[in-house]
Amino acid sequence: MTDKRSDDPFARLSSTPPPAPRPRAREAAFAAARQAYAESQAKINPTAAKGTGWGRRLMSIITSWKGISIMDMRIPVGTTAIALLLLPLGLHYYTSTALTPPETLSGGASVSQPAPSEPLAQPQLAPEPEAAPVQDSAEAEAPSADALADQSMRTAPLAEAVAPAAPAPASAHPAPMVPMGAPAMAPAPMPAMLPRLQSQDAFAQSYNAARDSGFGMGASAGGGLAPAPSGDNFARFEEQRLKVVAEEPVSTFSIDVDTASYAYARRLLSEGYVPEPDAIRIEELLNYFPYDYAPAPSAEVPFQPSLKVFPTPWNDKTQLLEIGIKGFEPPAEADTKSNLVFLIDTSGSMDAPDKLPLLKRAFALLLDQLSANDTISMVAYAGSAGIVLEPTTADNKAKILAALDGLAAGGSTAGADGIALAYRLAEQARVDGTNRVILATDGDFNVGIDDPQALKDFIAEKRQSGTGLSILGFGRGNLDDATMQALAQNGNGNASYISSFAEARKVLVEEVGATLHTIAQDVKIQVEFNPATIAEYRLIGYETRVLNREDFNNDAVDAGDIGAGHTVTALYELIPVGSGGEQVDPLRYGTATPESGAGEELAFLKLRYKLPGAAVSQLIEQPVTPDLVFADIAAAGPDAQFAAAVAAFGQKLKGSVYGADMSWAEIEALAKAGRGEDQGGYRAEFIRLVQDAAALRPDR
Amino acid sequence: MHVSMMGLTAAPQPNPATVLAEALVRRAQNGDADAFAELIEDHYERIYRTAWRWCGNRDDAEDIAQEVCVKLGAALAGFDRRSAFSSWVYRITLNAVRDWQRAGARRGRYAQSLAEISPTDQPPEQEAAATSAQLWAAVRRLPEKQRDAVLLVYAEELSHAEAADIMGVAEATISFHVHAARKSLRGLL
Repeated sequence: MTDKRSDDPFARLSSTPPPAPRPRAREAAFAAARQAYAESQAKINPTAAKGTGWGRRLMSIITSWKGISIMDMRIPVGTTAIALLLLPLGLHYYTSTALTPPETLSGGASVSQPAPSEPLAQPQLAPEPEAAPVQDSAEAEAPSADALADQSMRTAPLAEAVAPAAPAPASAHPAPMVPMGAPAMAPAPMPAMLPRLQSQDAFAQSYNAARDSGFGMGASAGGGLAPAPSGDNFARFEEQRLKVVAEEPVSTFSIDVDTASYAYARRLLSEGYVPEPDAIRIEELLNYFPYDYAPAPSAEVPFQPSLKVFPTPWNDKTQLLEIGIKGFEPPAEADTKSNLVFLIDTSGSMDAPDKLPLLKRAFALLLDQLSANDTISMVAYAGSAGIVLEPTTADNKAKILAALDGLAAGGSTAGADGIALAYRLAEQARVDGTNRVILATDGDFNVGIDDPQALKDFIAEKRQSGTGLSILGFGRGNLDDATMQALAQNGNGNASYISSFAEARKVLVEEVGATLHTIAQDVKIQVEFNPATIAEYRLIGYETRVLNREDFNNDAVDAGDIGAGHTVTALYELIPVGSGGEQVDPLRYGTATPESGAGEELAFLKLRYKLPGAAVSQLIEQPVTPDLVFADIAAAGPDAQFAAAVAAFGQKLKGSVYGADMSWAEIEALAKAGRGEDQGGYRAEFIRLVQDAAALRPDR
Repeated sequence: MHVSMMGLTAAPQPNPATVLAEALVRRAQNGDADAFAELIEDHYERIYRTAWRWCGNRDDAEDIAQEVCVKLGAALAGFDRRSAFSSWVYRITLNAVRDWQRAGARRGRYAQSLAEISPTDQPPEQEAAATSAQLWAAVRRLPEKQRDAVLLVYAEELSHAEAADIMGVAEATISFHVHAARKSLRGLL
């Protein structure tokens, strides 16, 4: 077997020494490896914040930092710096505000009782970490004073002592913390910092739960329920507040056809987790479902608003105003040309069954929808960056699928200028129709432009020249929701979250028209309420889409786009004058009842849109008259019932101040009543989701 | 005769170096970044050498080595210590080589479009001697399994048992692949 005879030619193989590797390659490899290691460590502990740092993925190419000793001293220096900076602040917050910083509670503090001392009195929620902060922070005072006094090398005990105490300000005030700890905190998931992050998260959990229970959500019944185990990143936003018509009669917002939030929430709920409140955007929940609104007359007037007013299911003193829009659907035979460039993330993190392989299958579905009129190209970024497929007409299915099959996830080297390349291909194959770059990623926006603002500007600039951007989000744990939203909005596209094959089918097959063919751009809605009939109002959802009143008539202000056949739904909760449901007391002085021509009207709807490519907007106006009012929600039809159920579900899941006392069973019953024909089974799925949520966070 | 030899080598004495290496792996798996750095520095040379032997090009070998280091960093937590760490590294390296070469085939197809992205694919470097170059080229052209077996046994100078462990096949299969390689290269050597 081991016959290494001297005349064996193979024996010579061992005598050729390989040339030595170049030191620079070696250094680069070490840096990349350390980064990958740090990332994997962060993944092992899913509570570590991830996907936050824009520059983080690129750390490996800055090899010149490697030798700087501060980088190698990160752990001790960072811990020391954090300890020294956070301890006084933590103590200050702990002693002066009882761990409830006013800023984050301002959302609910004015209406409901936020119970400031609750976090400490909730041991059943997260027993071990919960008990620790209280004790340790008390003990922390002694050693910390010591350490500060002699400035000796006692960094280790100091760091340990401060760790449990730190979470209070850190979790509540992410923004102010960053500048203080900036140099040390930049490489976030350092092993030594993990305990700190963990306890921080534990605090955040108990804090959220305490807030929920403060609002009568009964969250504590959930035992050790974690809100969400994700490293996904959601931008914080405040819920829409109640507005007084006499003070603020006009409400303006941009429409939104994104659905990512629903798909994300559904995935988490079906896996047994309650999504975090900021992950729930009620308008995206509402707009996930198709509604049977009046079809638009023609491509020139691409939609016709449907208005309905009906009683609010969660408050018998208020009414809901439903504004429904259905985008014009061009006849099927009118095959428009489209030019699609897929920019596909092939970084190592895409190597999961629900990411790249799912994308491949989803893509095959899309291909069936396209014809010889359509052009497809593909660019991959990360490990194997470059053009995977030159512009190819969509009838070359074999070639396209072969290119797709060749994609493999791997590596985390910095990608080439992927996005510029994708846009260049789009230019190259430009058609008179839809030109669109579709970015498929799990959250690594490492596409060649690493400054988020520069990236947004780049996308917005390309939008001007007629090439849009849509985003398909995949997977969990790395998703950067806020960036997805922001980029898609700048690219006049939509962000969809593809959690399963069924979802891929919905986005890429059933709604392919809406996803790819924009029929109206910059659609804005402005509603003026009549103070003679409406006392107060509240827009449900659309928090991230609010526009200023003056933006409505300003065509330069960007807003949402509608695709072919898209339905968009917006709900206002209205409190009529004299209904007894007013939350705000009338003014004692000077209630100059404004005189308006139409005393009977409830409100006046104005809608602006631009036809694709047009620079000047068109206006649609329609009054909300009393004959649109239904006395019973059942009479308003299944769509109204279903939309109300979705809104109630979203509010309850978010732990909203409004409508939280509606029980899960009531929501489910309402959704069932509103199920209607339910082609595609989406509403039935929603009903199951309500049941899941009820099981995860039962009513009491 | 041979069987008894194997019986002896199958249960080696605990070697202080191996124990140390194992401890390092364990520390790195438990989140010790310094241990991981040390581990990578210990193995980089070998990974690079292997990559070079398999593809015969310094640029590619460096890139593959980096790829392997990244994979090690990402996958270390999943290493289950059922086999030796060095065998595991070998496996990852060979997989990376294979991926690289497949991607290379794809790159060739789109060479033109890629030219603007990575324009400097340098030609393979000169081997020590012309005959040796011929041998290396012939070996690298062998079918994957045969090539891997030959290189592991002769270039990396591993035992058949170690090679079998790395390739995930039986020991006899290694002998078979080597034999087949010898046969297919008969005309050349």
